[in-house]
This record gives sequence, C-alpha cells and structure tokens, in this order.
Amino acid sequence: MIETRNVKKSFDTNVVLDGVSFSIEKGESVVIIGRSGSGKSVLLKLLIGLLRPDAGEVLVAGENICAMDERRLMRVRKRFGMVFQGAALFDSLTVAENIAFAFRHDRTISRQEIEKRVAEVLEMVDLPGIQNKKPAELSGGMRKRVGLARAIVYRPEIVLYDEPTTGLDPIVADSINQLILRVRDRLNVTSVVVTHDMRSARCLAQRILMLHDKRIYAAGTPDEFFASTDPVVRQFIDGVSNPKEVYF
Amino acid sequence: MNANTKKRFAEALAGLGRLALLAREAFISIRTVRPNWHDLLYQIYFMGAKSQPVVLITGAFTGMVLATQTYFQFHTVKMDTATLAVVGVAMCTELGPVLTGLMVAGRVGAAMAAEIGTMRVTEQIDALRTLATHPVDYLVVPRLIALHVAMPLLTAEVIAIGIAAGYIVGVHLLGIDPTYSWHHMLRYTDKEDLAMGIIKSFVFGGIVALVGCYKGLNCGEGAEGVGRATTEAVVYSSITILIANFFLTLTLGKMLGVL
Repeated sequence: MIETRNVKKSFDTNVVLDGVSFSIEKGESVVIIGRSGSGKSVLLKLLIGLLRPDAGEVLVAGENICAMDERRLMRVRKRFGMVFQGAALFDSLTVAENIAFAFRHDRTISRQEIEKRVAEVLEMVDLPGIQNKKPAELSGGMRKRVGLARAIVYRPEIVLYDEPTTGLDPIVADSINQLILRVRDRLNVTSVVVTHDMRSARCLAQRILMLHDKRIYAAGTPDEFFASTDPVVRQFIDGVSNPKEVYF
Repeated sequence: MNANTKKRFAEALAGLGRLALLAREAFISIRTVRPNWHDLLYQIYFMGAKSQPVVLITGAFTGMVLATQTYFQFHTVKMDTATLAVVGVAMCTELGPVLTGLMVAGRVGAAMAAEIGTMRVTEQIDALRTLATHPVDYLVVPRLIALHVAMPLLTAEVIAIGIAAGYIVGVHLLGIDPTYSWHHMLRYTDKEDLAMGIIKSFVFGGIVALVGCYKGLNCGEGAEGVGRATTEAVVYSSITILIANFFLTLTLGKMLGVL
C-alpha cells in the first residue's frame, strides 16, 4: 500500500532522514516511534506528499508520489486522511463545516447526505450534537476527536495520525487510542501512527518501526519490541535519559 | 561582493521566483477551478466594503490639502480657477490609485499575511492539502479576485470624494469662483486620466493580494514569523506599488495618449 525506498530528507544542513526504507501493507496498523526530533512527523508528511524527499522514492499503491506536482498529488491524497498533532482545525469554520470540508466541491453528494455523514462521524468519535460549535470552544481532546472525524468522513483507505495522544491526560489519551482502534476496525483502514507514547504504541500497533539515528533502527511486533534487549530500544521503552540505567 | 551579500541577493531572487510561481499558479487556478462564490463575496465585503472608511478619509483630506496647497501657489500668479483642474488630474492619475493602494496594503495586506501565516504555523495549510484542496484555490484566488474587483471601486470612490472635498475647500473656504473652477476641471481632466487611475488600481490590487498571500504562505515559524510576515507584506507591497506606479505612469501615459 505504502512503500518508502531509501528516503533522504534534510533541512539546510540538518540531515533528518538518511536512507529510510519500509513498506506498509493494506489494512495494517503501523506505529512509528522515536525520540523527539528524530524525524517521525517529517516521515509522516513525506508519506502524504506534504514534504518532498531530497532523494529516494515514496510509493502509494505503486505510484511514485515524489514526481507528482501539487495538483496530481491532490488525487492521491483523496486516499488519505490525516490527524494532526494540534488537530489543525480551521478556526474560522464551525465543527460541521470543518468535517464537511472535503465535500466542498463534490457535486455528487447532497447537503442532506453531508449532514448525515457529519452526524455519523461525530457519533463515532463520541461527540454528537456539537456541529455548530467553533474550534475555540473545544477542549484539546475534543479537538483531536473532531480532527479525526474530519479525516475519516470521506472514508479514506489510509489514516495517518501525528502524535494523537500528545498533551492529553492518560484517560483522554486512552479514549483516543480506543477510538483509533474503532475507526480501524469499522472502516477497515490502513493506520500509520506516529507517537512517542509507548502505551499508545502497544495498544495500537500490529507492527512497530523505530526511527533512530536518521533511519529505521528496529522493526517488529509489539511483543518483540517490548522484549527487546537492544540498549537503544530499551532506553526508549523504559524512558531513561542515561543508558547506564537501562534494566534488562 | 562578499558571501553574505551574495546570499541575500540569491534569496531575494529566489523569493521573486516563488512570487512569480504563485502568480502563475493563481492564474491557472482562475482559469481552471470554479471559485467558491460564498468565499469570494465575503472577501469582497471584507476587503472592499470594510476598507471604505479608511480610504474615504484618506481621499477626502488628500483632496482638501491638495486644493489648499495648489491654491496657495496658483493664487500668486492669478490662476486660482485652475486649482480644481490640478486636483482632478492628480486625484485621477496618481493620488487616487496610489493612496488607495497604500491604505489597502496596510489594512488588507497585513490581515491577509497574518491570517494565512497563522494558518501555516498551526498546520491548517497542511490540513487543507491533506483534504485535497490546493491552498492557492482556497486562499489566494478568492483574495486576488476580490481585490481586483474592490480596488478599482475603492479608487473611484477616493477620486470622487477627493475632488468633492477639494471643491468644497476651494470654493467655500478659499473663495475660488465655482463656475470657472468646475469648467476648468472638466476641460483638463480627461476620461483617459480616470482610465489610468482605474487600470493602476486594478494592478495594485493584484500586487497587494499576491504579496500578502505570498508572505503568509511562506512565513517563518511561531508568533515571530507571523509578525515578520505581516510587516513585510505591508512594506513590500507598498514599495512595489510605488515602483510599479512609475512604470505604469510611463506605459499607460503612452498607451492612452496622456503623455
């Protein structure tokens, strides 16, 4: 479904990714972990063509999206939904207008159908009846849920999540994780989640990829990952700043 | 040329190139993508209707001060009744479009850069793109068309109110003969002068919209980036208007037979 081949990305002299290769199968749930500043969000943006790699290829359903201009990419992006770290809701629009945004130019769908779909996805994210609220009136957790509703309302094949639980308390974070699982199971979507929250990673992943030192350092199932004795992986899982404190 | 100067020169050239690409993309979008009428009307209202108080006050007081200063000079050579002719020509060809352009750059250009810049730093532009919407279609084109529509209308208002204010000051305050003043103004202010002002304002509208949107779309990170983009949008569009005005005066003067 998605494949990266030897992707490299730098910002000025700062090399962020240096030869990242992996593939994600249709329907799979992959979590990308790594330390802050390791390039996780950059990698996610490369997958949907928001950034272009300096070298290498990103293939979506066999098509190399790196060679496409912005207008051709718009066609590919209809396969994707993306949930941003800060939700990135359009603050001049209401919740309903935010969620229905993807249908703005779609003349094949009636206003009633759009309203029905908006109500459905709001129900799915446990926020029924907030259509007329503005993003400024919502809490952080609610904003993320609305961001998720906006990303899934047009039923994409792939949903990308950029730090979906960052900045939320553990209970709200868990509810977001449950929501991501519900969306995956109900809509049968391919999920790619970027996080450094190991609880989320364990809960959401069928496979975990770890970004370290500008490339994919380790890959495996959650069980393999949490049983790993590799010091870099262990340090990250245990969340210790000094590698000497890592317990095996 | 030292390395730092070379780098800044290269950056300035690259910026100009990106601005040209934005203009090209907007042109393609206008030709191929149907604009959203709701967005367009809102932008015309925001940029045109809501800019009226600022530009009308500017136009009125400019017309008054121009009439007063011209009268002071002309009175010494007994040409009092030519005062309104100078006001008419100056308001139509230069002061109307340029002052409207500068005031709109300050009010609307800054607002555009700040709004789009904030959208950029809060990832709303990326969100637009993930929703298969081209930022130029959604953000730039409605603003560009709105300013192309609003600027000539605002300029026409400024010209009218500037001349009217100049007439009131000249006739009722300075005691110029109203009949001869009006007659001379109509005699020396041609429709080509008015056409020059309106064409200039159309171009200035494009400059304010493109520079404002460009600065917003390319602003730096954080509040500082948005603040800088806002300032630069006003400064660059104002300077561009003043430079473009000179070349437009020469070109349109030749084309319309004013020169």
